[in-house]
Amino acid sequence: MRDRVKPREQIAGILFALPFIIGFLVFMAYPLCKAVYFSFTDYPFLNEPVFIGLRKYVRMFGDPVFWQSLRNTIVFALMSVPFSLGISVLLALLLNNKVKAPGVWRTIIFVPSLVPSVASAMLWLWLLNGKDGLVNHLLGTKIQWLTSETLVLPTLAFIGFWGVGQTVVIFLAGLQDIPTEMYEAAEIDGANALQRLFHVTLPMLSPVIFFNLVMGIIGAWSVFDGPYILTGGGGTNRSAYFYAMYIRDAAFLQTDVGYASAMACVQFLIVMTLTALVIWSSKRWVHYR
Amino acid sequence: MVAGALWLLLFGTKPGTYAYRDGTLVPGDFTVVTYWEKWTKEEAEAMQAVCDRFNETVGRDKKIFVHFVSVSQVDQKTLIATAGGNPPDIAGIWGAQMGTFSAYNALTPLHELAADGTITRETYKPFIYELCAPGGVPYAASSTPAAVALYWNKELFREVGLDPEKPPQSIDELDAMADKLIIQKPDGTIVRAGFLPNFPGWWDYYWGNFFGNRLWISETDDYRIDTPEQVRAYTWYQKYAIKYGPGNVVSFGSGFGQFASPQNPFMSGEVAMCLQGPWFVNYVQNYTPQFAGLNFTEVMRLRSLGKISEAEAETRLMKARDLFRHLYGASVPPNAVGKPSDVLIGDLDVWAIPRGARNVKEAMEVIRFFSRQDNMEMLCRSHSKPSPLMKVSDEFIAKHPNPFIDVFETMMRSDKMVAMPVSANWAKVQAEITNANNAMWRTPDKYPVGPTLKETQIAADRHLAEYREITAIRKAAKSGGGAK
Amino acid sequence: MNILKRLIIYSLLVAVAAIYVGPFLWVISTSFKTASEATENPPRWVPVSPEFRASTQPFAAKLPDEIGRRVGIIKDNYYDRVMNDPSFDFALYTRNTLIIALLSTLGASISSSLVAYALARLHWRGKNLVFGIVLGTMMLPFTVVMVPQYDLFRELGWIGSNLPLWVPAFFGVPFFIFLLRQFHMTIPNELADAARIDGCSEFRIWWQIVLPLSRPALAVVALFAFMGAWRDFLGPLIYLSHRRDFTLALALQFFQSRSGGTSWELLMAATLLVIAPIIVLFFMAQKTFIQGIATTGMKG
Repeated sequence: MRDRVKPREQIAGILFALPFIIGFLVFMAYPLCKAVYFSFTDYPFLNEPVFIGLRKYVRMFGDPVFWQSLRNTIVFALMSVPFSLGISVLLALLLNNKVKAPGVWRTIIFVPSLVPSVASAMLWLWLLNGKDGLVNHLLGTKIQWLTSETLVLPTLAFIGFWGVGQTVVIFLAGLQDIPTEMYEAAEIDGANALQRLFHVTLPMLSPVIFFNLVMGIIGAWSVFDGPYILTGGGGTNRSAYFYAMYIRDAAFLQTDVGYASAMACVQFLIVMTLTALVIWSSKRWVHYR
Repeated sequence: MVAGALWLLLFGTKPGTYAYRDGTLVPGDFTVVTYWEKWTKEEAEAMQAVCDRFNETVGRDKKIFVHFVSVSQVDQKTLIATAGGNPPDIAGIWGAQMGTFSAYNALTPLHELAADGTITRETYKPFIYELCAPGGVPYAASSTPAAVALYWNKELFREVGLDPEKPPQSIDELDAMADKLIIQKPDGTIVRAGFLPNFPGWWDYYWGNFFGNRLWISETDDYRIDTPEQVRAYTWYQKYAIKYGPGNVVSFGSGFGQFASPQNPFMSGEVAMCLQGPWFVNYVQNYTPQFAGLNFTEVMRLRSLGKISEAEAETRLMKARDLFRHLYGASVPPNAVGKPSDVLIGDLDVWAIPRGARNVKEAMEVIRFFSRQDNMEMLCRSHSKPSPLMKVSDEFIAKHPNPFIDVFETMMRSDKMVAMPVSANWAKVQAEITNANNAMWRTPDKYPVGPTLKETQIAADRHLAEYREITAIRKAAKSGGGAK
Repeated sequence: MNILKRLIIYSLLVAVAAIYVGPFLWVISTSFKTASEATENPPRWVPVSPEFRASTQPFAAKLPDEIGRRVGIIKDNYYDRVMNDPSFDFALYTRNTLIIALLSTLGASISSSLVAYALARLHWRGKNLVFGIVLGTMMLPFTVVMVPQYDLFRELGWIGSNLPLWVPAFFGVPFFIFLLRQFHMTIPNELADAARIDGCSEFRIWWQIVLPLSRPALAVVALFAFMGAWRDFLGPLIYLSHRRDFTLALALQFFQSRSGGTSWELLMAATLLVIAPIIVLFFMAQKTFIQGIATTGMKG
């Protein structure tokens, strides 16, 4: 296939992709290059950038806060991405059944993802309160979920279940896309519900799973608002200080755009590597038609 | 659909026009001064009132219109806009940002305002002038200032047999009173605390000053974090956590409701004494049931809507003042150095003109108006804060919502008052200090005072060293021709 | 479906819905309270005023008064202090937000699908590179790109207008491009091949075959594009300078205060007013996802 790129498809391909290409060059390429350039400068926001070479990177690799925020983000991602993805798939499967008033159920599950993080943070603060929160009340414990250095990350990962609405919707759309004939054929072949799930549903859903997995990985790196409010800015001894928070603080609190840019470039490389891994592995488990 | 989109395009992207409060449009030949401020809600409305006053008096004469925009994340927006070359004409920034803005030459010097007497050593209270004119160059005009006082709950004092009119005069007295006031259950759970050094925790970095340290050395832009005075201060600080049990204080602290709520531990009676600013009276009034109908912000709102008369508003204000004075007290915070008036800390907000602003002369005219005594007092009064000016009218003090405003005014006239460090590094250093304080408070056994302070000093010094190195490079690059 | 299965599904749905409806009820409940009720600890789901609690009358007798009081509080919160707040011009902000959202949705849906089709079904040199770039642009945090982008828009003269908020959408949104690519790749090749043999241009294939078959995915994209634009806060914060141009999401922060004095009851009321339209929109739009079952009969 590789040699036979038909000229008509070649032209069409480029034409169709042109909006993005132009948009990218105009709106993104220039800022992206600038961002990379900034990482080699000292740019205190209010004064011009001055080239200083690798100093920001050197400082970064020797900065304990950098490593801690990196570690926190990776640990959090490892916990929250599979968890949220799993919940989303389960919920989408649940919602995919023929029930009365499907719109109502779907809307209910979707709405929490619309509630601004400030509002839902307030609710969580009450629920997780160490002294008299509902969660502790129900469990009979007095655990400080959010101020404990060890418990805060799992807690934050768990809280994510309210925000899966968007992912569920995408999975639902994917589920609807699976032709009913495939299920019928599987039933004829004698497959029970569980086997249909693993041999029809999930494989057919794999392109969407792939999408949500990649987006989940990228998203875990921009986690910000909710955890910031819930942990009062990063948790005890920075135990919930995420990479995105540090970039933001570096840029706006410490007005060190050069450092923020360096961190951003590192983030880019890491996420790109992770995504490349996922893409490479996808050849094994993603089925397109 | 396309036609609709086009219509929206033309109709929707027309820029906004400017209008006075009554709806009449601003004439086209007027200069529009954009003013971005961080305050929201009632504080923003108070500022809008001052702007309206300007527009309708001086503004009409001099053909200037002030366009006031209230944005709670104004520091972020101002940074980006200034860096992007599109700053507002007047920016209302935090005093703490002065360090960064002035270090990087991001502000327009206000020599004219110094020459006409608006920003001078005589006009302003001492520490305010120091902050507005670092190194003698006036870079900002003070908007609303504040100072830190010790508030105490008189009812609780009476309950344990302490004289409600006698606040502690030293740290030792404070400790003794706290011990008398605390109630702990047999299992250690705290029911009520007399005093907790980390509540509210906004000025925790200055506890060392209360023990004789000088945290920031302005002359050399250095920080003294690891000194004997600091060790004594934070041993005292940590002592509270150890004394009552670290698990108990953290648990007690986590039960603190929001700051602005009846569950604020001071307002709910869970903590008997705390450090706070002059605006605190507003919050107490808004969230304590005894003040229903009397609270200052509500009274102002009703008066501006015309629902109550001026006389009625004043009566309620006086009632509220008396009630507050009966329930609570406020005085100069005690220290371990000498008399309470020996160590004082304060804060302020400022108006500055960012570098690159388009209408500098007109902006200065506006700031001049804001800083006039009557306008300034109107503004500070509605924010429940003291005035930054040396000249203060008797009426301001007599009719101020905070019955203890005289305490704040006296504190602010003192030479001993200190604001936060005006340094480009302060944000980074403060982050280190806060982190260390939290660790020392929550897990004392893992973070003993001596070593923790040493580590913090090392971290801060590292930031400073990097800053100095880079500043040198920047200077060399500039003088070597071409900054990039 | 047999009875047992039906029972299990419905009980699961009810249990899940009970948990998920929490935040929404919380927003509503808080918006029905006064300032001090809103910050009570522990909070109540059904607000009860102090007068009600203090009264010694029997429950049924004091209930009407309480309801009257409560209605008054609700009106005060929503009508007097949010919608009629002189600094919060609800109608105007809604109009501003609607314009930006509609334009963004239009632009994002069309352009993203075009690009996605090119990446999904066509074969051309440079395809993988472009796909890589699409993914890559999502991996750089916005914070860092914010400042140079602001610079760019300033040079174009767009600062202060709402152009930076919707024009870029017409050039494809990476998130949607990626999503649609995945969906377009599930459309069987045979359909497109058959059309090509018939002499159809690629554009017609896209317009008449691919788009209709991707309806569920397109509905998702349009919905998300609209909601994203409706709720965007950072963009309007940076690019809009005149209060008359503010959007709803930006105006919401008027009820928040950095110095610790958020009016929760007002913030919740305003939040509800802001998200109610998109909840309704979602409810109406999600029916489209069911369409897939009807159209898949035509495949293969």
